[in-house]
Amino acid sequence: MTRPFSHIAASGCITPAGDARQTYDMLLSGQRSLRMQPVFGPHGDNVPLSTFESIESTLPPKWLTRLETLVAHIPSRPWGAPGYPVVITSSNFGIGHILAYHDSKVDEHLQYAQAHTSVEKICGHFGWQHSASILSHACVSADVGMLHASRLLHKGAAHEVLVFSFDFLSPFVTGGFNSLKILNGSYPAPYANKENGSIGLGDGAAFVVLSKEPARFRISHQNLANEMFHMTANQPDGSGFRNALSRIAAEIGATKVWVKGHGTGTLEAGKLEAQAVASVFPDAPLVSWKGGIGHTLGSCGLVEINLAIEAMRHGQVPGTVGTTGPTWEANVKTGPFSCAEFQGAVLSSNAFGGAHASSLLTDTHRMD
Amino acid sequence: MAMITRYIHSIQTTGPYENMDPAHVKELKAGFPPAAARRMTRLALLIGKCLEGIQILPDDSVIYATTFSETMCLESYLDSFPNPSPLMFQNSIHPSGLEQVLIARQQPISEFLPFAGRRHVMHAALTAACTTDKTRQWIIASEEQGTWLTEKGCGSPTDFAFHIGASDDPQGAIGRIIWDPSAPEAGPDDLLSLSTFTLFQHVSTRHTVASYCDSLGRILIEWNP
Repeated sequence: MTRPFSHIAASGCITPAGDARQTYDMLLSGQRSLRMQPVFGPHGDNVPLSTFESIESTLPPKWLTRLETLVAHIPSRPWGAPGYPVVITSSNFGIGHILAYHDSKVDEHLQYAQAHTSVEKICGHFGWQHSASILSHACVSADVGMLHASRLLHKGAAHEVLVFSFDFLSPFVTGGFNSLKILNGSYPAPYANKENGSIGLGDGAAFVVLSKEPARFRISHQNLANEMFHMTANQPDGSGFRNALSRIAAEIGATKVWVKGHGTGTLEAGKLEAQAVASVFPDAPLVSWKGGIGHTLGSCGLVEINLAIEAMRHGQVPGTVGTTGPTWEANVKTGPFSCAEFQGAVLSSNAFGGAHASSLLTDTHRMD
Repeated sequence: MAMITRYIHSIQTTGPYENMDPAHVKELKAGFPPAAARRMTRLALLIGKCLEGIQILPDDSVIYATTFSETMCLESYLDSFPNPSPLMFQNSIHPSGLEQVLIARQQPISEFLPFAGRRHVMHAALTAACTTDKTRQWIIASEEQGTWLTEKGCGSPTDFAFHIGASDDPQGAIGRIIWDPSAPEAGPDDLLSLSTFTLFQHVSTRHTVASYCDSLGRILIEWNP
């Protein structure tokens, strides 16, 4: 089956390291924006977080103001009107406000606490019509949103689609991951062959505008797979990872790629992912950037596509920041490498429930 | 661009229930292995009930929609601070309701599209059923009644769940979903909001649904006589 291309007419992201270019530069130099901070904001054990400011929820929300710098780069269109649908994704939305309400009993927090109310606030704040499709699937949220947006584009509902994703940390989220014992007191070292692991969490927001009009970068071969083996674990034999990656590998054939993996810093999933990539894409270097910017949760797919675009623009792919020493597989790249010899990148994200999402990002300047 | 039609082959609803009797919850749990049922939320049990006897295949498209998600679980998670409960945290994350059911069934699927939102949530979900490349589509929606979150307008006043099973095959269909992506404006009788409960009511009574959303065109659900 021929898969249509969705061309990226515009894109951008913000992380505590800056915009896409600044975040890319930081990763390329091997630095991280993660810092050890108390897990509950003012108190609790120190864990690695990459944040714009304190994670406590405020009124008005800091995150809404923070998004203004990102939205300023979105091309002006009648977003939300016929022909210009908006797809908004997140795993958190404004959920931190519900804990803030629980503690303070200040009703105003509830106006930002849920998916629909936070999206209504965003649409109202930025003048978009309130017709957004909202998708939320934990850490593959943005990838799922991109797939839905591509279909809207190619099935006739859109001239262009805006995909927008935002995830800002709060004690609700950091406390939850800490309770699962995967957000611990050490910096993440994705794919490192060692005995202990931790993820790091990060603030992040991003957008892409998808179009049918040719542009330099394009996305295709968007795939989803869901193991449904366990809420927080994958099939222990790695078949979930292998099956998911085999599907896109079969579709893209001989396209020479590097792989931007999910790589949060958890031991078991990191090992399974690295082994599956080595098996399915034996010639592809594998990197993860969550050791630098942390895991931006439901927005990671959209934040990281922006960083992959920067890598293709500048010809150098940042390595797996935070990882030194032995890795699970030899194809894990801990330092930067040139992408001159590659035609594209497979972008992969994973989530609770054994969810897998992957797609192919290509640079037409290298394909032609 | 041409309209797209999907053919409805099954619907199943459960609810609405207000202040569900614990004995009823126990009945719902009987549909699952005891070890799994112990950890499942009421929302998941309702979804399990409305999928009873339904065989979802690995290559089907599974589309899920909810506005309030795991309300009781969310309340319990908040109450667990400053020692947050890992089980309540993982179960509170959208779209855990349907995931709990599929995990209990050990049912892998390829395509899972979980929608959130309120005003247009079912319009968006039905649009997804019409745009997927998969030949069979399951649209599943559910809400769970809360306590203080419901009082604050952040939870559903009732428990309910439903599914619409659709495919590309018109043979034996009981109805159809038609998506017109190019509809320029709403018709005089079109709904301008299609929440989970509104569609639940229409599906339960097999009423025609005509819904318009500015950026997603027009959705029509018709039932065969």
